[in-house]
Amino acid sequence: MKLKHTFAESVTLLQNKELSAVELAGLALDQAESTNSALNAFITIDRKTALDQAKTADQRRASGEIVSSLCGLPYVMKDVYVTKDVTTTAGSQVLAGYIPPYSATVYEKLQQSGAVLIGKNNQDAWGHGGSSENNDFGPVKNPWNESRVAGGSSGGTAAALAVGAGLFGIAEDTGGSIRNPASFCNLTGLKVTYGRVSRYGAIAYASSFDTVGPMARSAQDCAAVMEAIAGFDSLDASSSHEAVPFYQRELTQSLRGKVIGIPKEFFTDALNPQVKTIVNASLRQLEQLGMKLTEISLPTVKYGHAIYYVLVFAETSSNLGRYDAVRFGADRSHFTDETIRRIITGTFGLSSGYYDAYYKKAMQGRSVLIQEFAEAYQKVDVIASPVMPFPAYPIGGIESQFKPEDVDLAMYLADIYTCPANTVGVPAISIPAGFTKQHLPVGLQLHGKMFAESTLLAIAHQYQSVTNWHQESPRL
Amino acid sequence: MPKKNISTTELKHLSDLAHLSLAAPHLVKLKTSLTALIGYIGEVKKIKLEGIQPVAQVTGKVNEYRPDVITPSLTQTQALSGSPKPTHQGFFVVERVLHHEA
Repeated sequence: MKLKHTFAESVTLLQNKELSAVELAGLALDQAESTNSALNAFITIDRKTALDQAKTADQRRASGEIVSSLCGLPYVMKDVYVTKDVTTTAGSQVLAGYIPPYSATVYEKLQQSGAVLIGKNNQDAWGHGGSSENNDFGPVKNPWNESRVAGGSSGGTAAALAVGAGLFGIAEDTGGSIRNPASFCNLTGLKVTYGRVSRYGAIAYASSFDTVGPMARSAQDCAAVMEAIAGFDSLDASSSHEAVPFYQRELTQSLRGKVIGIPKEFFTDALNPQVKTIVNASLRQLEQLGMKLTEISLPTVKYGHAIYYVLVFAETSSNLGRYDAVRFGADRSHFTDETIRRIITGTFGLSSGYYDAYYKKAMQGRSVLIQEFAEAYQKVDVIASPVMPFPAYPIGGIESQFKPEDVDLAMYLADIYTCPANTVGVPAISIPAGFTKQHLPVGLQLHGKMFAESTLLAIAHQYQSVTNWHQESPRL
Repeated sequence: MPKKNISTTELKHLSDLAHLSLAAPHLVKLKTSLTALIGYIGEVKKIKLEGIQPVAQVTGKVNEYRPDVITPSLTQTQALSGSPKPTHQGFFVVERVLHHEA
């Protein structure tokens, strides 16, 4: 049997004792196991851990303890978080056989809330990619069309949630890794403000860009998860002391008069026409909810990509330096070609003779971009764009989306709309906005001001109360 | 802007810096894709940047202190548990870095 209940229905069933956490976990585990040969969404499905956590959740509810709404809800997690006693790979053979002796803060917090971990999801190794093809465990397949990619790097989390192998997911976003697969698999995915959620125990890709965030079927579900995971953590010095709002309560805030900025640089001919039509239709729908649309310009965003890649490659070359097969893991000969390319390029940008021309210039460019966003936010509340320039493409076929002269860079150019949020630090959300003629999902992206996740979630929630794109499910 | 071509010598140097030992066919393949990639990220040179301060992070935070007290931590056994090689008397075993010249 498959898990058919929504997040909200499951909370009610658990509260009314009409369903136990063990039964819910069983449904999610069955669905994870029965779909995994088709989708390859999981690297680890841990039935024992899941059932143990579910039993504890049932005991906590039975004892009359006042518990979080997440208590007893099954969830999935990208395999980039260390989970004590549960295999963790980051999608790479470099970590084969690694069993962490400690847990990421986000996992600790979810255990405190009583949520039940079903398994760890397949992904691009170390987060290096936007399609979940660059790893040592085989590509993740898109549940809407199994010959196509699920997006990445958190593709396994998205594929698993789309087929109901969990009610929410924890993914990680360095340049679009939550939003991209959310848009390709018809989910709501939130890239939080840098520092909003602790990164402790998240295996680092690029430390000044990495963010930990939720993915789920609706904005309302993401809001509930955010209340459990956001907040300062003494183990992550970059985490913020900013108070955590009651995201669920703020979902119904008035949107009347809020201004949506539409950067002209994001709506060029490079955008797939079907995606453009869908995104424009969703913006008109937001106008009907009382918001105003206005064109803006972010002139430096055309260099945003180059800035982003100089910096993240430099940071990843530094972060991956620690994998030396002394304290854990296998040696450096196990990195994939793509990871080697990123390490070498990052090392180049930091090396003597090129530091000033590349790394320092990119750090200055980052300042300019931060300033441009800050100026735009003087006039607008949110900034809209597509999530991806095209819908999910065939596995192994990203080149088909590009002109011949751009093929070498195809993987990088696909991130064009998602990278700026990480460079600047602002939150951004991917919201299901419709389907192409081939019935592939398309997402709308909204960027918010620093720490304005509640505004993004409220807009997404109110959009989802007048549309039903987010309720559509693939057949599997 | 002229494209930056990466030579084999440069590539060897970079892979040494990154502690990656790459076989010859790998280096050839990497050279082409790196030239394209480095050409692309070289776009950063076109941005007008006079007088702009570089930033390394987005929070604006300077220092984050915690009380100077001992907090629970991994035991020695836990810390050593992931070692791919057998440990020696509670220590990791590493490659020799200093060599005696005869």
